[in-house]
Amino acid sequence: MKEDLGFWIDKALSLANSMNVEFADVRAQEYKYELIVVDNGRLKEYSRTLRSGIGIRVVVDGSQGYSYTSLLEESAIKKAVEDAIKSARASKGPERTELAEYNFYKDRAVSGFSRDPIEVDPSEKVSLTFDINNSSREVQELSSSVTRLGIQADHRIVANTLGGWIDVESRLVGVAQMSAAQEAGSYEMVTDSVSRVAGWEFVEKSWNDFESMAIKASKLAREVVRAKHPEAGTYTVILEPEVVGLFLHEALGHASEGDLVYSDSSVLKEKLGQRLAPEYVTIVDDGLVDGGYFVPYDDEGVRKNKTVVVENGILKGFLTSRETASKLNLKPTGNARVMDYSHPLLVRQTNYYMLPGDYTIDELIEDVKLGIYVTHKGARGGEVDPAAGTFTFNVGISWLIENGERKELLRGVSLSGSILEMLANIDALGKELRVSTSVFGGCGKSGQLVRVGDGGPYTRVKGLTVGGV
Amino acid sequence: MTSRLFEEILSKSDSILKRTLESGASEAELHVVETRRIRIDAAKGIIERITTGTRIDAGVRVVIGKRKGNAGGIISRIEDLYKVIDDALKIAKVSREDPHWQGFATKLEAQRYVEIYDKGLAEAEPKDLVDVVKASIEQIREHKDVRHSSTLLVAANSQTFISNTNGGKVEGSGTSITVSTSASSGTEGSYYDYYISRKLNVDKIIEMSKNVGKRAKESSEAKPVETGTYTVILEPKVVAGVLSSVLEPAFSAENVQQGRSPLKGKLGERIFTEKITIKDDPFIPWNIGSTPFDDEGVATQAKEIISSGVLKTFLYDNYTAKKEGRESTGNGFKRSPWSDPSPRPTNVVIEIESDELDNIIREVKKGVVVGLTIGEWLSNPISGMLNATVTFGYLVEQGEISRTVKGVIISGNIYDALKDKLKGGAGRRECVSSYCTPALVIEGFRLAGK
Repeated sequence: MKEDLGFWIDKALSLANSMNVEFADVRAQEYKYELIVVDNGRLKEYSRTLRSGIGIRVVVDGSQGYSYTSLLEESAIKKAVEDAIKSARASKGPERTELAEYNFYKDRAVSGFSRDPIEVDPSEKVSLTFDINNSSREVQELSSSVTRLGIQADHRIVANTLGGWIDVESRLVGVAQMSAAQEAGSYEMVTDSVSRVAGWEFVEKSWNDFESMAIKASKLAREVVRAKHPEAGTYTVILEPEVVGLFLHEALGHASEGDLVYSDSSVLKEKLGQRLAPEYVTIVDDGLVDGGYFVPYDDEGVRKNKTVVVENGILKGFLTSRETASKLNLKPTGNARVMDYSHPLLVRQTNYYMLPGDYTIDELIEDVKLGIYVTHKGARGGEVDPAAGTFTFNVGISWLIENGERKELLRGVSLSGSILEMLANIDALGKELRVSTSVFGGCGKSGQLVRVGDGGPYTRVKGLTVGGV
Repeated sequence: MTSRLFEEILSKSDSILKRTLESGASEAELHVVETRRIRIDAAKGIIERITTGTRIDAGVRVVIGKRKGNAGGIISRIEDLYKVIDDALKIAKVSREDPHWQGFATKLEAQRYVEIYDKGLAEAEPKDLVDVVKASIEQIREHKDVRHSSTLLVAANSQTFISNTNGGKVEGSGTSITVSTSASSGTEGSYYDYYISRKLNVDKIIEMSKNVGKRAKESSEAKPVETGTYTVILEPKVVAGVLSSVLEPAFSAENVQQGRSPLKGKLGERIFTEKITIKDDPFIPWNIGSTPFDDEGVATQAKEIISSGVLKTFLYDNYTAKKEGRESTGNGFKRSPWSDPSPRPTNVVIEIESDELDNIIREVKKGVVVGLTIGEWLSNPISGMLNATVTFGYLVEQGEISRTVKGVIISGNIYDALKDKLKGGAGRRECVSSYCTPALVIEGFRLAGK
């Protein structure tokens, strides 16, 4: 962190206090990101990004205003405080903004790393990315191979006029592979990636695993280009943990965000206490979990504990910021997050996942007469309309299941349906829990991208609509 | 008015680039954008918060021989820019040589004046824009049984400066405004729409909001259709969403050169029905994709990509153009000032003969007018396979609209659709986002419902 950021935080808070605000909090950030892209054996990109600056939220006469500046100089900070107050006054309406009470702390939390990946010699990073790309291209008949190495160092401080001061620092590293193959005018791509909240030591340990991941992606691309598209219809579907995570995040997670619940934009509104899923289904949002992203506190300084959203099939809670907690008469859950200091707080997920059950993967498959086994490799993601409860996912390469056995490879599988029907139709859960995050992407909402994690066990769902030909 | 730091960078740009050369670079590019934003969030009819602020994004690309390095970010002071330059140089030193590198663009200029700066919008105060949000909410509330969910307004005023050691410098100002609004009705009815432009046009925002209210109400009765083959009529915003995801990447020379475009080797061939012409036009007044120069500072130009179904050109940035021994088409756009550009269209204009929507509906036996989709960006641009879920549409049976539709997957290959199945346009051409298109009528599309 720039040495003087603490100075500017204090400056902004004391300026706000001197202008008689009811409450103020200041977010300061220093962020670094490195991306190396090797495209078909050519270094397509090696870039370093930094972000630093400061933002201030004020509550004046029951209204909120937020202003930020990337310029660290007295006049800019003063203008930011004045603009925040001006904005608060301009947004004054019939209702007061209340921020729910919370236990404020003074704390510093750092994700564990022994070798800071940002400080590692750039040539070592370039070599790694080339090694992986070269391995992926040993597979014959490939039309394209792109390998990416991503490194993130994030340092945020949030301090407020109550006396709270939270300082969170983390590192995130990851490797991603995209392999594409072409045959008879038909193209397909397979993607896979691994990211971890860790230092460079994780990369050193996983070098061989990254290479085999890339080779597998290339081999699959070559196979899948010859695969069929599924026939459109309704199927029993077995989802890999990574796809379960994507599903939960998009289809349920967004609908459980307090701001959407409050604004009538969630199909879960009015459903607290109701049964949504069979009793073996429990779903949580957890700031600290193996494989997930590092969120010990949110960007309001609220400690992020494990929030139970669905417990034994019953909808138990929503995710909240201090503002939405007050509006919904709930407690703050530590889910107020921002992409960076130049954005206002939104209610966001942290690591959203389903707890495991007791089936082995073989047991999940053997009961299926006609179904589809779905992976995340090549998945493009999903989108949901949380108000209507409809979702659509483009998932990765898949296999047809016939009479309890995995048969032919399928491509172009997309799933669609309703959140509530899909949850009710969860049929069985695997034993193994996997949660993952990504240094290359995250969750987008209202123009802000934040890192998230998600996951679950292998999950069997009946009656999902599959788009195809 | 720009900040003191932005002015300082502009005034020192020549010496900053000179210093970069003295530090070992053989070429360098500086790209700086200062943006002032006003953002207004409203929910359930109430203004929740206003966010304002200024940030400077600065990027540097340097080349040593044929080795490149990029660095940049949101900067707080001039020292940050010097640090960025050092980082870029360090990266270039460890980079591998790119044998195809032939230098940054050599002619930085804007050849035409384009209307992209709305002085009224640039000078708007938060309270002026609060009135726009309130007007949008009012329109939604006029519909009985419809609830306002949320509105987000983002107004931006930006100043861009690009300079490199080969070709001089360009500078320009632009404004933009986005208003997105959503409403709900009943237990599961909802609708969402947006307005995006470089100019504030309150009448258009009101018209858009009125439609959100109307459709939110209609959507409470929406349900899927039977799985089968339908005539689909894609409204302009759906055309924009679908084509930008599944077709646009295929026009990029970079994707062609890297084996990721199904159009590779098809220049001069008829790939679509001769009814359709697709243009890239950067000069449409106030359209969001309009710009006099691209992110490399190269002057933009209007061109036909598809002429009566025949593929005429790909889109080039400086790098991909030089690789083929030709000039950039002014389509080099970056994710950020420090990233490498990739070829992308400015505004996409679709020209096709259109009939009135009502006339077309009368001739459709079984079809769906698609008004809103989600997930179209998940389609596969390499294979051309389109997948999207309809979240709002109208079912057409025997020439009449019978009810509303949601929860249906559209799937099919966009190349087949635009070659053999495209019947024509419906209604007048509208400019929505960076696309200007009428609704498109496509026969024989597969819909998966219940």
